[in-house]
Amino acid sequence: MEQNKNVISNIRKLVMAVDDEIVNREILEGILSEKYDVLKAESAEEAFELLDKSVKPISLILLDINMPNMNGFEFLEKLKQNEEHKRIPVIVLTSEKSYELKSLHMGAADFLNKPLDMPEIVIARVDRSIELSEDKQIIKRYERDILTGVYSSNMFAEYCLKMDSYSADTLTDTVVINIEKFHIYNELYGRDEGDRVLKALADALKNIVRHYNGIVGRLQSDYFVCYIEHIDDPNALLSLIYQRMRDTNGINNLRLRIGFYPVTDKNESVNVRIDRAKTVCDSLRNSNKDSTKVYDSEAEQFSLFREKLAHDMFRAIKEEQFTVYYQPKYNISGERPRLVSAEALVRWTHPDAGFISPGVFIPLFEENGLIRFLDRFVWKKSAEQLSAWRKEYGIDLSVSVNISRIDLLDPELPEVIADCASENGIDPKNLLLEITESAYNGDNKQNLRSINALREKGFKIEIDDFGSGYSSLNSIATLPFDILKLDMLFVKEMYKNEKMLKMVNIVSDIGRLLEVPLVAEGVETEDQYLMLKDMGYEIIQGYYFAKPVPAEQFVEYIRKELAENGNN
Amino acid sequence: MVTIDKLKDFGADTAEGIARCAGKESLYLRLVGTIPQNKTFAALYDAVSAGDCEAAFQAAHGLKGALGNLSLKPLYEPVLTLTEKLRGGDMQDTELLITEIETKRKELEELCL
Repeated sequence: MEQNKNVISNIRKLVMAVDDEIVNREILEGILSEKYDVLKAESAEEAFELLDKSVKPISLILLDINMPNMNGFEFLEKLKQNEEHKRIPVIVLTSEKSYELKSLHMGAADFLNKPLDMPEIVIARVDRSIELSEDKQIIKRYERDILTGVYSSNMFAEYCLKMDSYSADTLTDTVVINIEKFHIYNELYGRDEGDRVLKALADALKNIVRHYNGIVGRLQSDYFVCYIEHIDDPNALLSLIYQRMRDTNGINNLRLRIGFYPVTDKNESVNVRIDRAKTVCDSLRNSNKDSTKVYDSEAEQFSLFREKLAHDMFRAIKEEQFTVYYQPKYNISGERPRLVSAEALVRWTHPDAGFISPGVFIPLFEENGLIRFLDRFVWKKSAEQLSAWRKEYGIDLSVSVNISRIDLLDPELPEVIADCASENGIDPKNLLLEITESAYNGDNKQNLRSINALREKGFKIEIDDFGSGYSSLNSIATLPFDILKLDMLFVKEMYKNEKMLKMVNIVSDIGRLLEVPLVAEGVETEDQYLMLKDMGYEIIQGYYFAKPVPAEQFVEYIRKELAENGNN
Repeated sequence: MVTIDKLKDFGADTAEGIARCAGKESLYLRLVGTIPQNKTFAALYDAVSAGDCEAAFQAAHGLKGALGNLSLKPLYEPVLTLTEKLRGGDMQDTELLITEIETKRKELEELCL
């Protein structure tokens, strides 16, 4: 006999011979003991006992059919119902032709005739049945998830491709289902209960996808994926799942989230489809209202873009891809408008994406907290630039910079800004700090501390976008600030909307009441300018005068101012 | 004591029998030695006397297997014939076969002493 080089074959496996006739048992042992360890059982009953008792797994059973009490067929039937042992291959021993077919139908792997064939044949058939059975189990393990019985993620992808080849024109969805806070569920109720829930969900999905000609797989832990014919209403699927889990397993204390990725191009890789469905599913994580969501290509693209921007930000600062632009502000309270300050506005020219609107990157950086770095960059640049202008032109100019909500929460803020000013020889009163009304939350103690510390150092606080925030009247009355800047929207709407116009007036009353100067921005036309001047607005910013420009161009305004009004 | 030669004289196909026992002569002889005392003979005779065809068939069928595996042809043949008869439900004229079987069994028993 050829020496089998396979390592696994060199470990002696255990087989069991079940026959009520001692001669038959002993002959089988005699034949097989060369290669296998052999257990002998006199009866079907004893065979079951040995199966349960045996520590070493039994790789194959040789089974006589004609036995008193429980016969071979009864044993075989019972074996196939036993979860633990049903996969053990059985070779039936029989001399009855009619039993041969019946054995195979009942799940026997093979049969051997009586009287026995020559030993080589018996051994070869035993070897082969064991090998086939082991290979089958490996495939099964690879194919299906052990706990839930749905496809493993490997097989799932393959079956998706198969489905696509059969139904190229059918609209389909890739769907990822996840259990919310499942790890907590496991901790509260124990792993066994958690497993029960996973099985229940898997069963519900198995059942439901049948109606949509689909398949189910398990991705990992509590993530399941389905590939089905397209469903118009995602929430219908959700309801179906909840209903099944409730009705079949009595489970109704779970929350699921479902991400849908409608497949538009079947050439797209299955893994990409699954990824996208999963991304959409995960995006529901902190949503309080939605449990299902459909992939939106635009939204996804935008999301990826924002991530890239966040990633590129530090390099952008280092490489000065960010530049500070300045928009002049004019004091219009006298006969002629006078240039008194400039608002520092940041611009980004990304090496790949080109010009990126502040409307896009500012909210992103505020969201992820990176705004702090951007703000510091702007403060530094602005202070440097202001110092340079003052020195070079001898003009009494100020610059206003933005302070974000996050900056206010930083206890070091007053120090940082003060250093910025002093390092550049700037008097704090010339570095105006603009804080939007909604960022300036008077209830927050840290905010108040910061503001007070800043004012103590001589800085002036300008409330930006006034009228757009959530201030209550009493907080307006008590919050410390020095300048009031009207929200742009009022200026834009005041000609079209009588109420808006009245509001603008009221704001100017507030300014007078609190004895703070009033600033208006977004002024584009002469009418707006005149109206605001009439109402008592002192400082105007807007396209009516000039748009934001880089420092090199801003000097034009300085020169013009000096020419028209001389040094003050 | 039973030996290969004695069994050959008896009519058994010892070569085949030993081959089936993976060439283990001692195993073959030991197993042959169990045949004369095998309780299935008695079970067969009782079932036939009692007219229980089903039980007789089961007994004959079981014996046939063991005898066939050991290639004990002189015993195997009459048991095979009886088995087929009983399978068809035919219990008539079984005395001759039973006698032949018992005779051969006794003969083998002598050899094993």
